[in-house]
Amino acid sequence: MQEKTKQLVIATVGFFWAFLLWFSTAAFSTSISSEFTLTTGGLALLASSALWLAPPGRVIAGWAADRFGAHNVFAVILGYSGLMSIASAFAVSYDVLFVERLIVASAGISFVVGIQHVSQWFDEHEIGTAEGIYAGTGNAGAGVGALVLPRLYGTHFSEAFLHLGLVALVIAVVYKWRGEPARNRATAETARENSNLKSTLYVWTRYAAIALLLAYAMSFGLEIAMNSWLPTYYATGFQDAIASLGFSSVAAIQTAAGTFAAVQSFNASLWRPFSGYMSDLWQRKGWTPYPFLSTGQGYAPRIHWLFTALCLIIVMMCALTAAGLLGVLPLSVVILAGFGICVSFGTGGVFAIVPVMFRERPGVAAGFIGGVSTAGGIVYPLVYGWVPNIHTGYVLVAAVLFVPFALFFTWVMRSDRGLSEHGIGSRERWLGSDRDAAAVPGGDD
Amino acid sequence: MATESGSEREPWYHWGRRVLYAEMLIAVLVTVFSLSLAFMGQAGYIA
Repeated sequence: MQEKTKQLVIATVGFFWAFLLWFSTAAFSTSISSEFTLTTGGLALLASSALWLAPPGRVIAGWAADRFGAHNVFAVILGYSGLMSIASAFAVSYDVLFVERLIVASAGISFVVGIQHVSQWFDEHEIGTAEGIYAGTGNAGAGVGALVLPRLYGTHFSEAFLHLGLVALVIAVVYKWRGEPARNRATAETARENSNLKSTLYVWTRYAAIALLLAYAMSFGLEIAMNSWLPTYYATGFQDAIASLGFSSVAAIQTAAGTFAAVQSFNASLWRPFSGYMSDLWQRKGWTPYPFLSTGQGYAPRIHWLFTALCLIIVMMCALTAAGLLGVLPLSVVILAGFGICVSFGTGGVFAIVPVMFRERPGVAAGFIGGVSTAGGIVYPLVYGWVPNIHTGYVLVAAVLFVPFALFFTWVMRSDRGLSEHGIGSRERWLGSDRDAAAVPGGDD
Repeated sequence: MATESGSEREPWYHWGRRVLYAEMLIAVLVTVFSLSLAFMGQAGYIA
């Protein structure tokens, strides 16, 4: 096996398990609620807490991956979250369990560490496929956890938390033992040298980084928002349709609603590698169909592919509202499948660009783009729950947030100016003039 | 416009594409299962 293949497998297995840890609390929320007699509000708090640490945690983890090497940072994340998962198996009060599970859920910050790791090993022409396989397979951990864990452990969530934690520790040791930070010392050293504060601020002030952040908020932020929202949506918005199918008890309606919701989760995760592959294909073929977007950048076809995905996401949001208003359950599920695929086009499309655009600072850039955007997972369900008609939340989010995001993306990506000139403050302002000489040939970063 | 060069296929890419197709197949199967549930109300062992 090639060394880079080995590194991809290690990163993918590590991220899959981290995602399993992240969403394992949600998989047992009913059992936890029953054990500790939680109110509906308490249950909602437990569910949303899984996302709290992601935005700041990912920013720090991305920087740390550049600074200390992905293999070290990933092993630390799996190590502490595994230990905390084991501790949570023995929690006797809900308060202690809540805090411990909050820390376990922070395993999700490892995403940006793996993105940095894979980017340090794969060439530009194959980066979309490699990052897609890493992130898509890893993201599937959420869906697998939701379907497999309750069937494997029933209501014995403590036992599940113990076993998940023990396996996490084993993977942490393997990651530290067999993981290598980059294909060569020079690549790792470049990332380490660019992990200072000025370099970080330089990335945060690039319009392209902000546009990609918003694109990721439209895709991955939406994906995790839907993971938590859809079971409630189907159970409430299609209560009569589900009841007419024969699901009458609360438990049966929840099971049916959860199965419909899984369509989004599985499609959004498992089509993600295909999106990375498509980004590579568009790049290879040089496809740039939109006359209002730049064709001069070296990665322009990848931008055009991502813009296609963003437009499709907006269309599918409107279609989901239309199907809901019509009250046709099978149509809604069909659209949800297409919706999940379009979301995966967005998630895969963004991270086929980030490592190419920020070759010298992959961790810092991935942390910023992959971190702040997860706030969408907290914001969108608030809008969905706020509107009087449960079906209209999607079109409202699309009109008020996604259309402006897409317009900003278009404005940024229509420019032929490089990253160094297109942002708040020049490259010289943040990095000093001597940095120009050290720029990677052909790269904007 | 410059496109990325060096696009010769390496061994990992072949199994990578197989993983990609396998994952898409799983997603399609989950979708078909959910659709059968939505149309017929037959949940099998999950009900």
